[in-house]
Amino acid sequence: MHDDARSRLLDLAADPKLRTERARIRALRPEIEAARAAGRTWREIEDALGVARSTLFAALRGVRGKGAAPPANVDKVEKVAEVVAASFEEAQPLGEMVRKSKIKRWGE
Amino acid sequence: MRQIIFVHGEKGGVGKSTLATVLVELAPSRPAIAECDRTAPDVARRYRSSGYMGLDVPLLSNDAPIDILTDLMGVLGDVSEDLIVVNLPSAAGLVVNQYAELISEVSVAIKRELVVAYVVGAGADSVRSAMDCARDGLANFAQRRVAILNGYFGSEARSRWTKEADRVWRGTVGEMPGLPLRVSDHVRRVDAPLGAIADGSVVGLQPLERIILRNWLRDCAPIADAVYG
Repeated sequence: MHDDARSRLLDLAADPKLRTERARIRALRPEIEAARAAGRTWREIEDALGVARSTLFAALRGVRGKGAAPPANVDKVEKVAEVVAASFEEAQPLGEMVRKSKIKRWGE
Repeated sequence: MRQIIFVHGEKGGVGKSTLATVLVELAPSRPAIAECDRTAPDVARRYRSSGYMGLDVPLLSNDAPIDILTDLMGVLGDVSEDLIVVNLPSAAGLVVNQYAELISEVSVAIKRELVVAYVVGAGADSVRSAMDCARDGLANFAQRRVAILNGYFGSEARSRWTKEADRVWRGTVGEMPGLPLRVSDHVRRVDAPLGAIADGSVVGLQPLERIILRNWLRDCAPIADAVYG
């Protein structure tokens, strides 16, 4: 997946309609879902695309801005929550995450 | 009930850090603290050396807020404390409101009740901000929302809070009593937990001032009850 995904992302980058990285990731959604269904972890996907997990999640979830309507129904929220929970389970160990992020624990 | 409590309020100087401190002091169990205010980290300053699990969160920095928020929610997913108090800087209100849905989704994923404790100061714009937060900001997505009218400003906050504000807020409204200026000035100078200052285990206040502080904390109990349920 690694080379294919990255080259597809680069192809999409050339499309003037897909100017932002998030738009390009959204365009790749079918491939990402297929990769997940095939058992790929979020980490493998973000490595393959060369993007940060936060960018990946924000793009896929289409984070809405101020003024957007609240979620249409509880089922949808729970479904998204399951995906996020699953991704947390697969995420790297907390210690590594804290070191990589700019959030510091007191005493570190 | 495992909770994540965002101490919110878009105006500066309305008493967010004071409320966060009260919530830390009066929590039913020792909470974790996420200090997002880098310019005035009053809560971190007070509790950093007192054995609390805490995080310094550069929510307003050169990094994209969504990246920091995503990191934060990921880190909070592994916090063992039942309660997490998040102290937001005033300028972060709009950011948090913008990503309210994401915060809400992650709160569900990490199995925590999302609570918004919104501090309302003296001005009418402070009340308007609270209403905006309830309409389409973080409070709109919270399972529990408590507006706290800061009595430090006399009756100003209470008189600005209209019936319409009540209707839009759709949650509990409480009042934080005002701490006399002389005492609050002295408390501000001591980097120690309020409880330790009040019981005299940390030097800093005169005996009468300690009594006033103790009584004030006691009078804040209804706010903590409303937030923690």
